[in-house]
Amino acid sequence: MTSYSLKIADYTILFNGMSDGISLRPSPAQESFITESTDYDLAINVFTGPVVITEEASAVFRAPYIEEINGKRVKKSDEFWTVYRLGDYILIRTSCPASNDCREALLVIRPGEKSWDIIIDSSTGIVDPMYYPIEGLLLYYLTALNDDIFIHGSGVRHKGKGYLFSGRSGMGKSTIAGIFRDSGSEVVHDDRLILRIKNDKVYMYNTPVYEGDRYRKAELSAIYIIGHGDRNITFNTGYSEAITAVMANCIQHHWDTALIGRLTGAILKMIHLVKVKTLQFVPDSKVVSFIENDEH
Amino acid sequence: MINLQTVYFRSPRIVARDTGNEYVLVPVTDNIADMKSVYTLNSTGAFIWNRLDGARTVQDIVDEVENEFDVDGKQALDDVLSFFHDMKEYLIIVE
Repeated sequence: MTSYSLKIADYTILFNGMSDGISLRPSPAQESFITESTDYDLAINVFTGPVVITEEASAVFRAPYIEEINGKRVKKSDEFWTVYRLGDYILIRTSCPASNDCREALLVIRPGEKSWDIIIDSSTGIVDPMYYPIEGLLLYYLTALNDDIFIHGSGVRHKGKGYLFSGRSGMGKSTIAGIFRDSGSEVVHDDRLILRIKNDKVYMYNTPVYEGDRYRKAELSAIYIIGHGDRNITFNTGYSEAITAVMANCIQHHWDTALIGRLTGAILKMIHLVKVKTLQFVPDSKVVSFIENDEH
Repeated sequence: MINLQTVYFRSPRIVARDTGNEYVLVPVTDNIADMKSVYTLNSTGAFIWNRLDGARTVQDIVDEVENEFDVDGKQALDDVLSFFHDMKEYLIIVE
């Protein structure tokens, strides 16, 4: 196909193939996020061709390529993706380590505009515009520029209430999602969520990671920063502690003072609406009723 | 060493967010691998931060801390020097 739209976190993103002979092929994980809506919040013009960065662009932020092997983070390369600034535009040049077809790609972000570009150096012309890591980069800048929060965590909807469990790697995010799933709750996502504030309510949304998953959304009632404990117990957090705890688990690019200001502002606004608490838990089914009865 | 007559500035590579009577400080960085901790300032730290205006010396701020909080001169000096030492080490303030 040459055009389709995805609905992610209440954003409709339209992808348009612009080059002659281009064919767009969304990944299986994205297929259930395809929407028939003709209105869109952001249009992505997709081109195939060589990736060229003008000399006027200045590199402002770099990411090495790190893989997790047997639980250890191993740096495979210094160059994974690089953010450039060109006037008001943000350019991101990236390799595509998970693709045999995409040699490299360029995401052109025009803040404040509804039309961005993706250029993919493809050997076949049949492209997924959201090759890893383009999808995460696109969603990060879309949400960051709209004062949303892109966060690692497990979100569940339990008896009509939404809970987000966030924390460092190994603190039990997947474990607690599994416990709630076994109790009959809906797991909105167990890895990466988008939080949006609308009309003084906070909503969490899943993102397209897993094949067969569908669009999910839940209103958030509380955020728990989790860790293992010898009993189930929660602690209240002050505003500064809550901001730093939430921020530590956010996807964030700290090269720009305006982006940092927007993220801290969004978190501060959110924690005025939704309580952030620290939770130490024992990984068994009792934590479900404990959260049910916790004040939030 | 912190010289009491030195005037310090807030680093332009720090974003400060006022959370009420505290501050959250976030450093700007150019590499995702270098993203360091976010820092928080308690109410005393926030009081000092608000006085880093490019005009006051360290001694001026010591005097204001002594007047504002219920501490003697030595305690005020120790608290302010400790603050400046940490802030300087983490490049949050510059001369």
